[in-house]
Amino acid sequence: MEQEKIRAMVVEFVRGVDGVTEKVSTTASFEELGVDSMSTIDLLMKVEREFGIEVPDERLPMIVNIQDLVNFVASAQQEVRP
Amino acid sequence: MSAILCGVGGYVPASVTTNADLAERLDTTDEWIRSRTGIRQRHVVASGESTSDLAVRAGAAALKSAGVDSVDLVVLATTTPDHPCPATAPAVARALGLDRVAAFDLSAVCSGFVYGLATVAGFLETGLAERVLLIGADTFSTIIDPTDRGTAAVFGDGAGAVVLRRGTDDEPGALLAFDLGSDGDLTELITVRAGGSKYPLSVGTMTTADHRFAMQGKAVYRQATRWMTASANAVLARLGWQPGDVDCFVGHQANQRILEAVGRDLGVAPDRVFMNVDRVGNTVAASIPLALADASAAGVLRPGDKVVLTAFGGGTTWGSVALIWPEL
Repeated sequence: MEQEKIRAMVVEFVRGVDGVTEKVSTTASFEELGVDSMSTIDLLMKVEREFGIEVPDERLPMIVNIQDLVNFVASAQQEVRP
Repeated sequence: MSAILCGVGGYVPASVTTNADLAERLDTTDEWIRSRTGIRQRHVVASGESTSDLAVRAGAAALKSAGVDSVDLVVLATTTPDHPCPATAPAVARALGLDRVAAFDLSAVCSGFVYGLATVAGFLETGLAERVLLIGADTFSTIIDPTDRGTAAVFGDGAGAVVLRRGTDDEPGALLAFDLGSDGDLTELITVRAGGSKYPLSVGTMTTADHRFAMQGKAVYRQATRWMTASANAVLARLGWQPGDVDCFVGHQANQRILEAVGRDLGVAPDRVFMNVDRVGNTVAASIPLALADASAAGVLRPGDKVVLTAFGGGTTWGSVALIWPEL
């Protein structure tokens, strides 16, 4: 899937989190967007389900904004693809 | 033969720490704690009060609820025994006047009570015991790092207990299905690193926080949601129950957000997901029996209710039990 498509889907997921405003920056931290640490995990679990990938626990601290998450999904999908 | 739950009791120490109390000494606020955990207050032991003191009070309440004054076995699920050695259960049994009965401790952190139910069911089903007192008790206030808001705000002290007797599957209170599991790859998520045989206590370990309890909150949140849901689903499948059949889901009271997520993922309506975490915090092995005692006293749990108990804890470990709530 192209990065743009992944980004659009992730942005939609983030907009769905309670307390997040309409305008979301892809480089602002989740905390700055109003996504607290546990909502970040909810978001990751949704991303795992929707894209059929798995985010290892040790990667959790490195995914702090939308761009990180999009990059992770894109690379994970490359690995999945034969 | 089957194990029949026939008594329940709980006890929390008198002293309460509110979120406002914590906000005075930690970088946190009432709003921060409530929005992330749903916890408003937790009970903490007074100086000199220990896990066995709470266990004895909860045990006595459960014996009274069952209308009995003797058992053949006392099992104490705890991660904070009075001493690293020996087990605390014999002293608890003695204090309850249960002289010379079999007694031992069981350790599965927050899953300890559910593992305990499976363990005592084995004793009862094989005829090794006729009646058992199972207690979950913990005093995490004695092992947390008081400067860590991620754990200091979450954990509380308490005890809960049940009495189980030998009976048949068709009796109310029969433990009908179990699911237990563990993942030892995730040991580091929930740990007191030092003080065991791998890192014995030394002056060195005391200068770090390694002798204190530590938890990787984000990863635990994810694993707990995943495995509590999977484990509860496993017992539902074993019994052919649908999520909508569950009258009361009593999950380990770790965090309101985890319980809400598990209820949602299971498909159990929010009003059937019992919570007392707001008043007691995460009381570890005491969590489920304390919730059962509260729910029973409040009339939330009624005779005939289909009940599913599910826990996730350090190890990591998880487990579930299903039963029909009895008349108590």
